[in-house]
Amino acid sequence: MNDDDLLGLVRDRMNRARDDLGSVRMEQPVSAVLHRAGRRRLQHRLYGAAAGAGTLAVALAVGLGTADPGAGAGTATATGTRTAAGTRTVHVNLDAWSVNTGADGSVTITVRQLLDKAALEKALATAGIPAVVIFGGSCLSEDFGRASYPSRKLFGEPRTWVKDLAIGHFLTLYPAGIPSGDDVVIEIRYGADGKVSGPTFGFRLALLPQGTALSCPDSAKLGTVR
Amino acid sequence: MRKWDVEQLQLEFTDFYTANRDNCLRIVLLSARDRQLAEDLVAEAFARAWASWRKVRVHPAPIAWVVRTALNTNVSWWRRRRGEVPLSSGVDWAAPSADPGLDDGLVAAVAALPARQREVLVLRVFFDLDMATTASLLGIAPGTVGSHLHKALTALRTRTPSFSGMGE
Repeated sequence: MNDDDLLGLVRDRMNRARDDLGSVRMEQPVSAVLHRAGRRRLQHRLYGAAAGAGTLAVALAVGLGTADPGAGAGTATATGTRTAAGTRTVHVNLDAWSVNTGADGSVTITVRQLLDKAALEKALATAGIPAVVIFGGSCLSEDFGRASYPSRKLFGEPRTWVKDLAIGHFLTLYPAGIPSGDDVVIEIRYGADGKVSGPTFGFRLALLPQGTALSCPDSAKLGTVR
Repeated sequence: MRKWDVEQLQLEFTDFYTANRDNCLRIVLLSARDRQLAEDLVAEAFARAWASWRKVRVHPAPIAWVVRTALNTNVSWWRRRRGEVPLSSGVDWAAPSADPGLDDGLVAAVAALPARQREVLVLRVFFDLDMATTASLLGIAPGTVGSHLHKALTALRTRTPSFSGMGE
């Protein structure tokens, strides 16, 4: 059997295999694709502007480092958007926190002060992580997996999107592993001494469908600049 | 650009997307073998198509352009994701087919091909593109297309149980 014959045979069988997938349908509406393209365009503009300014790190620090207006407390809504699977390499290093893309595509967030929540969310979005950041309090209950939120892949389940969540001031995530349509909720809690340190300081993570409303106690400082 | 132009282009793209999205997804799924990943790849490829729609709309094989972009994106995403534990595919590949073990074996063998060989094979198999068009789409020489195709078929002949024993 020569290559042409074999190619014909492969064509017949692959087409049959494709036809067997007749029940598989693309669920995303065209509006989602257009929206995705719009986000790509914005990213390119941001990236181009950063390159023109000299370095991406400097540009992002200037462009994103706006002070959070201070949202008090009450409710937050998961509305962050996902970038094109983390195609941006981001290096933002401010006094308060850093967001850096690693060689393997992972993104490491290091926190030194709970400041500029909005800028942190923007930096994460640019790095491919659609995130809702919560400073200093908890909107995720201890029994979150059984709570009213439609949570997925939380504690105890395989979390391919988390590379490193150690005790300390940093966590590392894989943007490409975050399911499309989900936001990462990142809670960063103060330590017992009220500082970004100590045994109770740390992160709590969850994936939530975008648009999920979070009920937060008044103690949660949703982006309040300290 | 006039608003009318943009609206016309968007309508045109919407028709293109609606008519071809399922077919593209099924083709990409045969390579990616992960339902969620395949849908994400196809959505990304269509988003790129819309971003370059003035170019893609006059392409000799726009659907092939989308599939090729999705497969290419898969390579770059895979490079970033290697080391992760794969999630469940969401597709029951073990489900018995009318031809048990035959097509699944072939699909697995195609999925295991090197990226470029798989791209060439997919374009030749599903879109019946000739060598010149395939070469143009991939940005390589026609002779290189032939070489990749020959290597792909040789690999399939060796690795697919139903093809073993079929000599050249």
